[in-house]
Amino acid sequence: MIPLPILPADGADYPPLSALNDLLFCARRCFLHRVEGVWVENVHTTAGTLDHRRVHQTRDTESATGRTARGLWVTSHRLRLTGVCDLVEFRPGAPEVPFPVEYKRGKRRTWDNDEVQLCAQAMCLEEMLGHAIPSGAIFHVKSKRRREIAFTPDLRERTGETAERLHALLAATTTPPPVVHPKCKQCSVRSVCMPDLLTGASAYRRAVADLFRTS
Amino acid sequence: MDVQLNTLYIVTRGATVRRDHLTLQVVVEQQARLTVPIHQLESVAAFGGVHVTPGAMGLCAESGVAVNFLTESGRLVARVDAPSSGNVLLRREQFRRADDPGARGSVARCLIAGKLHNCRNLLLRAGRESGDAADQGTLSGAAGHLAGAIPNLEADTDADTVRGREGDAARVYFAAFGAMVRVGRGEFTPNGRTRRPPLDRMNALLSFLYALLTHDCTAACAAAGLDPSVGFLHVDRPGRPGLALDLMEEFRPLLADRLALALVNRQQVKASGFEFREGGAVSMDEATRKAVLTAYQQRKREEVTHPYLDQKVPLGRLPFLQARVFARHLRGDLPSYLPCVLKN
Repeated sequence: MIPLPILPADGADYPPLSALNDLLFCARRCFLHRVEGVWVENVHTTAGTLDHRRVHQTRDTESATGRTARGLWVTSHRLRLTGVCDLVEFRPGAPEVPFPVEYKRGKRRTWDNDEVQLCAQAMCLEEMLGHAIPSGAIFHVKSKRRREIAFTPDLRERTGETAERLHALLAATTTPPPVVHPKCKQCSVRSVCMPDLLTGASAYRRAVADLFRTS
Repeated sequence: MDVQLNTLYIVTRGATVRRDHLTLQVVVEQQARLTVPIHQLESVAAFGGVHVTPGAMGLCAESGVAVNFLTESGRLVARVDAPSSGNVLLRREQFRRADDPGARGSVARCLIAGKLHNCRNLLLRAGRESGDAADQGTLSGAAGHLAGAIPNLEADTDADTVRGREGDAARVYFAAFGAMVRVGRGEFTPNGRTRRPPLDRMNALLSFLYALLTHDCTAACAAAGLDPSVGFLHVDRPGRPGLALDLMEEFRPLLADRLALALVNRQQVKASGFEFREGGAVSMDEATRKAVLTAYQQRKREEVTHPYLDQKVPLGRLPFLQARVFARHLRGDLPSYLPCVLKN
């Protein structure tokens, strides 16, 4: 399935939390996807969609160790973001302590964009529920391991900054220029982005010069 | 890397295309003849009396695959597309530029320069392969005429001038076209370019191939988020895919003309496969159409090295790549539209 460009949720024109992740991966990709509506499926994106569908399809549960909610819709008016938490555990206590868990396929990324996304979920939950959330976890589907993340002041600050950058990016009307990077190899929108054409333009320049010549 | 996406052509009268989970199934006389996973498709072309169920159309729309309904001779009748495909900012920029005479002229001259290069290369190639001195003379004369026309385009600032030069070049090119026919020259030499209706066999063959190419270029424009109907060289006319026709110019010699000549010269298409109607109109019979479609699909699978993207790509991908180059030009990433010129 091709996800349509993200529409504002319940009337509020807030971008989704996952856009933070996109932005930290690549600003151009983020703009192409969120503003230009470009989306190309590849193995990585399809598998990610399927993983998430699986998480969201499981019912909410309640047990001795607390209750869990899946596919929880959250919003922060301070960050101007909205999104869905894959899973939130409400750990027993007075009051209960929410513990968000974000599902990610594959191993830990070399660039830590997942942490910002998770932290933004926590900040949304804090704003909605009115109490502090000290930590959460990223669940790596492939290794079935949880990596616990503490929401330090530093990470919170990084999250706030990323949100500001995101709003500025989405308000712009020009597409950020491409940056050629090894991670382009696994990027599904590479064929639309054409980073090699636009940056390593020597062949292009030659062809422009030759267009009105005949040999 | 790009996934090799493709067009599903259905030419069998009475066939039904239906959805089967995430695949399209072609059913003929209650027998499933073909099953294609939707993610392998870029578009569907249904020729003549072919049924496509609403379920199949829904699956196509969800997956960004356009369904085109065409007449048996390949004229587009209707098109089913997702409710919102592509990007409104890009389309707005396309309309803005298409309204600007300066932008129209500068895009038009690039499109035609690309076309003339590819036409000229085809003439030169045929000249090298020809054993006949008179034909060689005709071909090199026409190639020389095109070579003279190309540099003149650089200074052209309006689309009308470009159209005029293109018209002159096309007349010279089609006048020499017959010299590239080596087998069955009596039956297959075109008398210039005739269409609606085509009046000779070669024109009937070319018209059909151009229809296939228009179809692919329309899909390519839509896939790049562009509006296929708003062109730069071709002025707006209801029902005409102006931008697809613009994009198609550079591909006519590469994907249609050369293939038509190969089919005739290798006798894959025979003179007896054509029907003459009252009034002189010529059309192909069903077996010939199928043979042409098969050859066209095969030709699209042949790999070439893209001259400035520096990657090996099947010929059938070129319109899609070039539509993206066009979109990147409109969005301001590239200073001019650069057509794809192939040496071979």
